[in-house]
Amino acid sequence: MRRALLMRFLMIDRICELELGTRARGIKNITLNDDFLEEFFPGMPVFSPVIAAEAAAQLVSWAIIAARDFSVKPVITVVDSYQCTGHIRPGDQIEVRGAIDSLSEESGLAHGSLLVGGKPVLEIQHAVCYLYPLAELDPPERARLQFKNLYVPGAPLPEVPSTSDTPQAREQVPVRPLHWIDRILDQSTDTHITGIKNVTATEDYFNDHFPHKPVLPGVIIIQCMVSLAKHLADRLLAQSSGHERRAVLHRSDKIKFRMFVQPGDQLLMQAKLNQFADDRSLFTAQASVSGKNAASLRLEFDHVSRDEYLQRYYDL
Amino acid sequence: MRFFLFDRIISSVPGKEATGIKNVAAQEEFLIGHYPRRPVMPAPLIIESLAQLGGWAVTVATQYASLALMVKVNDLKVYGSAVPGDQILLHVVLQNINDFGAVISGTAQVAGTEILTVGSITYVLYTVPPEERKSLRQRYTSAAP
Repeated sequence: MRRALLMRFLMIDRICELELGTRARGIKNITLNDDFLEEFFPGMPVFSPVIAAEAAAQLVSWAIIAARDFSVKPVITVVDSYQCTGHIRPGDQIEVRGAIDSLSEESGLAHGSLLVGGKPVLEIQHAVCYLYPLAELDPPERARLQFKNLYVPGAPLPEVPSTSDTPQAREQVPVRPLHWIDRILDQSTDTHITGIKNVTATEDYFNDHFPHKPVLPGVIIIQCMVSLAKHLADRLLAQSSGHERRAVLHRSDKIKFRMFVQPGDQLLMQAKLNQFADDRSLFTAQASVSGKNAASLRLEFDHVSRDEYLQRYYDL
Repeated sequence: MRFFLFDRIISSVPGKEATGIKNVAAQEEFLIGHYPRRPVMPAPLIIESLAQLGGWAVTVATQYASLALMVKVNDLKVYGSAVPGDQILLHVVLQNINDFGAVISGTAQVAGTEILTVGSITYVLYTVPPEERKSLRQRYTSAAP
């Protein structure tokens, strides 16, 4: 049965500069209608900082796909580090940068960053991908058409707004809470938390990821593990600071994806708290499917009050 | 599908005018099928963007005593289109307002070029019950930047 197209998973809106197989710059627009808005503090919706990494990944992906004449598509396996220094708000235009450090027949190495108003908000270093036959994931003619619509050579990148503007949100609008974890299995200790995500074919991102082969996007797997660890960190913070401070992901490293996670799989996730202080916490987290290791990473959260959050992540 | 068709106000003079932004993203549902081979934001939704911004300006002008319901659009001209990656600059000017209704004019630009103008959008005013005005004001003014 053909799935109805409801939501997309298109994280690049325009490619403005492209040197095939080398580097690219593009635009990702954030709207109030976005499906991946979340709130760290009430009344302050931001684009999920984890999903945002997909913008850089897709930009690099296009630079490789076009360089290899639509025969391959990169699939990410290892990311050395991800660092988030600012959150992205509805109405923001993101300048997305991607650079390919090396490219062989089977694999590639790349890095990328996201900027808002000329300031870096997210950085991804040392991302390794291997090249998968495009036709097995995506109809090549569809990819060509998408690329043709995306690539506007010489199109201007987002302007840095002048400081005289005083942007404000239109009004407070409700943000649907995102439910990344289907069930928490065990949170009886203060050092471990275990949960599951059931992967099902009706999830919208499978429309684009990928048309011929539904694969759970890596950023979604990371997002699930981040949510699980954050759940534990926020609980401990509520005990120690009475909800005044909350956990905000600052950094993740040693990210490894070891297999395709597909509809029908049940992702069993475990996060282990390694260090907990007033101002930060460190976790290692792992996800498995039927006993096989699917993904693993390390997470570092900042613990911030509303004021600290405004200053550090929001009011850039 | 959510239906917030402007994302941000960048400047406003209460009772006179307002300028806002609508970001167009490939992710948006209204682009599915419009068109299959090339995503273009439907012009009627750009009118709605202007109407939502105009409604916001009217509500602010009435000091949160009224919501505005669109009843008429006059003198529509479409000169261009907006595609993913574009940022639409919306500008509305309050032409007339009384106890029963309000009229605005509006223009939409992409990268300095006009893509759509409306000579007038007419609204009838819907009175907000006095006990709800405070929370409406709060919702409109407390939104963080």
